Amino acid sequence: MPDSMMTTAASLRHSPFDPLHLAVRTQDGLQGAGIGLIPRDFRGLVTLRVDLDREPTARQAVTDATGLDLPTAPNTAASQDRLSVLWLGPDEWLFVVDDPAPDAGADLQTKLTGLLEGVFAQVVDVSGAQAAIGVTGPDAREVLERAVPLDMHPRSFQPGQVKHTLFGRHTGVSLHLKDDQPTLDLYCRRSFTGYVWRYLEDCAKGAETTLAVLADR
Amino acid sequence: MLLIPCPYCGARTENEFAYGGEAHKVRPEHPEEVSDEAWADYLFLQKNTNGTYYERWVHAHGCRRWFNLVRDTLTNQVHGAYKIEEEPPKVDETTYV
Ligand SMILES: [Zn+2]
Repeated sequence: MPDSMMTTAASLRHSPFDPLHLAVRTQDGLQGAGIGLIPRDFRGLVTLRVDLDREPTARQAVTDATGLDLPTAPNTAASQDRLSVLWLGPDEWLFVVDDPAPDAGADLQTKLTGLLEGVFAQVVDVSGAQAAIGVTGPDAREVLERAVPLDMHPRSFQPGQVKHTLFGRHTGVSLHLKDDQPTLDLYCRRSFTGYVWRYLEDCAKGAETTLAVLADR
Repeated sequence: MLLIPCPYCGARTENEFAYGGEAHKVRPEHPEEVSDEAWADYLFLQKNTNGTYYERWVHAHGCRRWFNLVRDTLTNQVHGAYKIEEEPPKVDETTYV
């Protein structure tokens, strides 16, 4: 079979950002823009549900599988290299593999499931269910404040924190603040990618700042 | 808009939450044995207090956990939130007539 007819897991994937036609607008760096959005395509996403009071061994198993200690403090996240784990609730976490490889989520799911053998827990690969948007730039907090009811001020939203909230009028998102730049990752339902992206463009207009589309590395 | 102190996530605005009605209603242990009237009471009738009220909320767009809240239904003052398995906080209860 000629190469052009080969289908692979990677070539069959459709990006949730395709309908936004971002390629023609993508630039290197902010170049003076107040906010930059980054289409973070195809990250590996895995949810874990386990009650640590009933299954205390799960914590060590997760550390063995990932090198990360499960964050048990509400609204917090832990990161190491290309892996992050976000607190979603008292018995629920989201793992993010910062790697667009087609098997990134499935590989982590297999690894976690193996080490949690015999533990009453649930591990689900949700890579195809959610989309990630990177948000950065000096006006990022001000623009986001127009879209979510959270207090985005540094006094109440600090690096290392993750918050789940209502975005616009219709959908829930997770916001992971990674540093003071600020740099954030926003996770939304895949089918809401266009809504969230365009809403942020409107918010940037409202905040009278310029928005840049930045390359995903 | 109410600022609701989720016992897990901390204070968040009301539009992240959904309402669940009166708290501490006891479900009949054997629903198939109670009369239609008693079952309808359990399902549909609420105290609807004008004053200090114990009610259920769910943090729908946050941690998605159910919890209880003590709120004054006239003034909207929130006296506190507590987890489902916890005892309610001690508050001076008020009922307006
Ligand atoms: Zn909550």
